[in-house]
Amino acid sequence: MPRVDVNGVSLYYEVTGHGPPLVLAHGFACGLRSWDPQVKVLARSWRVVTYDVRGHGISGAPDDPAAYSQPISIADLRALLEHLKIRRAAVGGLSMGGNIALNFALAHPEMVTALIVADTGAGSDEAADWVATVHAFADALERNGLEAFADAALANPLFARYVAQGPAAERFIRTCLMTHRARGLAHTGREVLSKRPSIYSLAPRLRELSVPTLLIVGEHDDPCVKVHRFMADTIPGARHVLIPGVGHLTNLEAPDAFNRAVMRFLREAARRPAPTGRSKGRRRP
Amino acid sequence: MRWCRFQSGRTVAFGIIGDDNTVTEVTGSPFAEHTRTSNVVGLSRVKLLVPVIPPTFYAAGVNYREHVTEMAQRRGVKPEFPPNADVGYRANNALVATDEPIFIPKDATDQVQYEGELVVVIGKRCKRVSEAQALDYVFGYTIGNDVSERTWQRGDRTFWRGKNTDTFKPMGPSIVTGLDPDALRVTIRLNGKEMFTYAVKDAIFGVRQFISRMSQYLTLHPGDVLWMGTDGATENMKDGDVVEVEIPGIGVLRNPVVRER
Repeated sequence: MPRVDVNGVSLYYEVTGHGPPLVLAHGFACGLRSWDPQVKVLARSWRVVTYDVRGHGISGAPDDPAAYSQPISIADLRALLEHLKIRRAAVGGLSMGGNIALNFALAHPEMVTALIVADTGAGSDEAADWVATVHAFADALERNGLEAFADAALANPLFARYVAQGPAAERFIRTCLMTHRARGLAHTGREVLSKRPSIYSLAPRLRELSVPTLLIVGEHDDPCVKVHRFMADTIPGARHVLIPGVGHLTNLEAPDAFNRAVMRFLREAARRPAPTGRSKGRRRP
Repeated sequence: MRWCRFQSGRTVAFGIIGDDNTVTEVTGSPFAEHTRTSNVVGLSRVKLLVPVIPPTFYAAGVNYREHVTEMAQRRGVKPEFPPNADVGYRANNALVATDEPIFIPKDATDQVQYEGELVVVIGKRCKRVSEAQALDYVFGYTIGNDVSERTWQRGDRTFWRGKNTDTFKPMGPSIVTGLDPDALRVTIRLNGKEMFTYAVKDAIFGVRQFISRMSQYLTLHPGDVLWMGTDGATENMKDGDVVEVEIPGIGVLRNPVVRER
C-alpha cells in the first residue's frame, strides 16, 4: 500500500515504470486514475509517480479547512518526492495540478528538470465570477454529495466535450469525479481554487523561470487558452502546444497527442540545458 | 444512481437512495419496468438488505497477482497465475447485508479470512458479447467480502463450506450505476486499520474479459452477480472484529464478526 504521511495527511501514490522520474498532479476532483492513459504509455521510458492530492481520492481529507491551501499542496508534493528519495524530477500537472506543478517549479526550481503545465489558468480571468462559482459548487457538494456533483460536472463545459466521446468516456470521468470525500473537495475548492493567485499575478517570477517548460492546452478550453498564451509569452523558451478539436481534459480527450507532446518534450529537455531566451513561436503536436 | 433493497416495517422493496439520504420505494425490478412510489423514508430509518438476490452467483476467484503470490508464499509453493478468465460459483445461502454479522462456526479453525472485492451486477440478458460490448450489459457495481475458511477451502473436495457457509458472503450496501470499474479502488480495513488497498484495474482478467468469455458459453441474466476477486494478503478475523470493505464511489460494506459458541 503506497502511502506516506506528509504535513498531517496520508497521501496515496503509485509509482510505475523505470527511468528518469516524472511526477504528475491531477486536476480538481479527478484523482490519480485520470492519468491512466499517460501512465500506460509514459511508464515505458519514465518512472511515473501519480498521487491523490490531499482532499482527493483515498488520500487524507482533513475536516479543518485550514489544512488546505496552495502552499500546502506544494509542500505535499515536495514531501512526497523526498519520501521517494527523488531529488530532481520532471513535474507536470493538468488544471489544478498544472497550477501545483507551476508553483512547485517557482518555489523549488532546483528540484525540477522539466515542467509540464496542461490546461491551467481557470479563475485567472473573471476572478470574482470564479470565486462565486467555486463557492456554489463547494456548498452543493456538502449539501448533496458526490453523485449530484458528478451529474452537474458532466454538463459543465470543462467536462462536456470529453463526455460527448461516448458512454465509456462518461463512465470513466463520472467515476473519477465520484471517488473522493465531498468534504475534501469542498475544502479544496474554497481554500485552494478560490484563493490561489491568478497566473497573471505570477508574471515577474514566470519571466525568471529557467526550467524547460511545455504548455499544453485544448483548442476549446476557453478558460485556459488565453492564460496559456500569456504563459507562452512570459516563461522563457516555453513550448506552447495547442491540441486542436479538444477542450479542457486534453490528456483524456486526445491521449495520443498529449503523450506524444510530453515524450518529445521530455526527450529534448533531457538532451539540452534549460533555455534562457524568450518564446519564439507556437507549435502544434 | 444508487439502488438498494430495504426493509421498512413490513415492506421489503427495491429503493433509490437520493442525494438527501432518503430512500424512495420502487415497485417492479431495477432491471426491467419500475416506478418510483410516493413512499420516501430516511436512509437511517430503514434496514438495508442484500441489494440483489442473484439468479446465479459467479466469482472470479483467484484474479490478482499479489494475492496469488502472497497465498502461495504462505503455503510454501510456487505461485500459479490463472491462464484464462475461468469463473467459479458461490451460493446465495451465504449472502448477508451490510451491518449483519459474519458467524464463524464453532469447529472452524482460526483461518477465517476476509477478501474484499468489487461485485458486478448484470443488467441485461447477455450471450456471446465482445469485450468492447461487455460493459453495456452491466447494471451497476456493489461490494463483496468473499469470506473464506482456508483449511476447508484447501482440504474439502469442493468449496461448499470453505466459501459458502451461511453469512460468509456479505454484499452491499447498495448498487451504483454509471461507473467504470477500472477507475475504482478497494480498501479493506480490520477494526479501523487499513489492511490493504488495490486498484481494480490490476486484475489479471478485467470485468470486460470475464463477461465476454463467460457469455460465449453461459447466458448471463439480469441480477446475476460476478465477484471480481481480491488482491494482497488476507488476514484472519476473530470474534469481535469489524471488517470493512470500502470502494470510494460505491460505499462501505461493514460487518461484525461473531464466533459461535
